[in-house]
Amino acid sequence: MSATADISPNTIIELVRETVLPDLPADFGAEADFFESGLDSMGVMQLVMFLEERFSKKVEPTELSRANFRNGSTLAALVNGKAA
Amino acid sequence: MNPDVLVIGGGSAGVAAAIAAARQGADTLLVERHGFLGGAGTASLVHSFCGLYELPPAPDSAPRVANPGLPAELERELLAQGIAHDPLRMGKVDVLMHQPQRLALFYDQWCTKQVNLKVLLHTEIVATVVESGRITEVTLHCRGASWNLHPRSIVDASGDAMLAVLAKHPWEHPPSKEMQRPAYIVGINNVAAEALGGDEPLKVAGTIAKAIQEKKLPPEAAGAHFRRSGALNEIFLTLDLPGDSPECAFDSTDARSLTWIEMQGREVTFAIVDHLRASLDGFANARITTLPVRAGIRESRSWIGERVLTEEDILESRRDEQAVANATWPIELRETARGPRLLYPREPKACGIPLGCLRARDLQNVFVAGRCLSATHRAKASIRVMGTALATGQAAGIAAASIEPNTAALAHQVRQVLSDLEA
Repeated sequence: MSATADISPNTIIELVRETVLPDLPADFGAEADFFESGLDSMGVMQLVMFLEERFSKKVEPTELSRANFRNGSTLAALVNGKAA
Repeated sequence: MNPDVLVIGGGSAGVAAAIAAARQGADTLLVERHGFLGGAGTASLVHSFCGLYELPPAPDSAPRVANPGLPAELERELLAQGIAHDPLRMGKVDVLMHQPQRLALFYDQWCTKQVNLKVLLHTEIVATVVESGRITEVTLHCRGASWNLHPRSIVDASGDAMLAVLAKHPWEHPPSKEMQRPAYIVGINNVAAEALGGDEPLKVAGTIAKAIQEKKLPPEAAGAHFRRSGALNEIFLTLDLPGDSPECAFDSTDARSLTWIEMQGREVTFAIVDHLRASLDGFANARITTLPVRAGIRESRSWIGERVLTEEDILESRRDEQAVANATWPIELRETARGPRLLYPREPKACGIPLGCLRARDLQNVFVAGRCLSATHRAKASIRVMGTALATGQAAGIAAASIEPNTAALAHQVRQVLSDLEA
């Protein structure tokens, strides 16, 4: 269990929209695929840095996979599994 | 030595303009400032042709070349000679990946076997004489030697609207804040084949991110991405750079900016490769083996033409009876070094670039092709790509070879030539 409140999939989607994919539609859902909307390795790199900057969540290179970064739900699950 | 048509700049647009003019029977001279042709696609190691294909009307549509004539011929030849491999679907668009080193040789041969065409490398334009709305004389320069020419028509495919500046013709330059960011591309050998397969590119990205956080790499390393090239055992590292230096904000025509990005590009790409070599097994033997002749510039000055292409022209896929080149690449904004932002046309259809955008507003015998044609900042983010540059070059070359002064009548002639090429 992390000491801080869980980060919601919607918070993750907001972060992705704000930092990497500005054109994500307003109704982009927790299960909608970031990669199909244009996320690439450079975007993932930015996200890793923003996740630490905003939420103090460190993602290790070994945790970087399409499965973990696929959508708001999977990425929220990854970061919520980490100590802040 | 007074050619009918002088083409300035031997990139995708200039080569296409020169060959097209020569094929119309014009005695043509192509001058290029570096030691080989190809522009961004060779000198800056840009390793894919964007804008070469139509926008796929459906996800399963086969790629179709968007323009007849030289773009189609180039695609066919690059595939036949093994310089490029089958087109790649990247999201909603198709691109043709090629080997920049062999593309340089291809362009040499494409030009030298063309009758009516002469190429001079290491040659730049340094002065013009304007009389009664025409450029009547140009001065060329090579390593301290200068000579004058009196071409009938001139195509500016310099990428930087060099001729507009020299002739004091109106041109535009976006504010530094909006200007598309530059990229520094290097070729790397001895990266293990599996090092960029599956999820590995994400792990490479994560390794770089971690190194930035731990201050082992500079923050500019965040602009890095890798792509395997058509050449055996070679990958390209593309580093998008912010461009701003302690001395000045980014300006692609300022020597201080250009010096800064070239040196920073080398410093950061070498640091990245050194770090990956120490951190990832697949990169243990990696070496930077190809440096660019110059950093990749995405935006520079543009001419003010008879017409100005706009963002809406691209997004609404507009075309009229002046349309002479198809633009099919989305508006690709790179106003930061944090990856592209793409704006697609509302329907997957080409915009027809009108001849008026390829024609100087106030100089009767000057045509423009490639990224410095007459377009707004946003429209340039679509038309700047190499596939579209081939098409605008071809159209400008056909137009420059004609003696028809009226733009509407000239557009009709160019369209007739293009339609014959399609047959």
